[in-house]
Amino acid sequence: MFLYTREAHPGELVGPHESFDDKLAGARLLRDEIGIRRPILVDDLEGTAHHAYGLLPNMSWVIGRGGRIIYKSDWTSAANVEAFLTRYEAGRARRPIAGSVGPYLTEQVEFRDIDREAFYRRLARNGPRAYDEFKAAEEIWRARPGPG
Amino acid sequence: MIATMPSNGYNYERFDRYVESGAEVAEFTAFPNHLHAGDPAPDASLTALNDGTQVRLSELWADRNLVVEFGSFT
Repeated sequence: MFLYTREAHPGELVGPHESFDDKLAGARLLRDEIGIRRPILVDDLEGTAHHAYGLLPNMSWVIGRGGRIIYKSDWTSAANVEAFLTRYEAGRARRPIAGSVGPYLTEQVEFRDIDREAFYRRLARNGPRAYDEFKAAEEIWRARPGPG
Repeated sequence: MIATMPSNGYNYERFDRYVESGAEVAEFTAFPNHLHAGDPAPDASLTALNDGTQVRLSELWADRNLVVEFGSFT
């Protein structure tokens, strides 16, 4: 399912949420304009669920049946989640065979495609200031000291 | 600790001021140490967009794996 949060890049056309009705309207855009067909669940105005899971704008989690976290990512890759779930379920299916399979933990770095031009076009949909503010943020990032 | 947020807080109005405040860096820095595979997942009550009903995450994960993608329109 999709958990709808605060707007990451508000602009004149799609602004920040000032009420829960604003938030529902933003979630409808996601359903009706982007065409998300999965169930969309809307967090409260203060972002209680978003805070509980760490506030990142495009993260994904998988929670195993019963309520334990089995996958955590600071980015959403549908292909990565799907491949993980296929492996996880295959392993889980073998667990009744005593001693033949056990869980282990892993932490990995993956790479994703970045299409800045497509992203800028999407920002323009939110309103001109969303684009301007992202460009201003890029200047702030550039001015910060790098690692090392 | 999360740095000082812009005055409008969680639902910030301006992305550049949110970045300037340091909140974005603080959130990304905190994320790797915030909850891990194997931990109990935080429960939450959410509103289903299609019918307005209240849904708890724990109802959804009770008998199946639950994929939760976070995001917004913008």
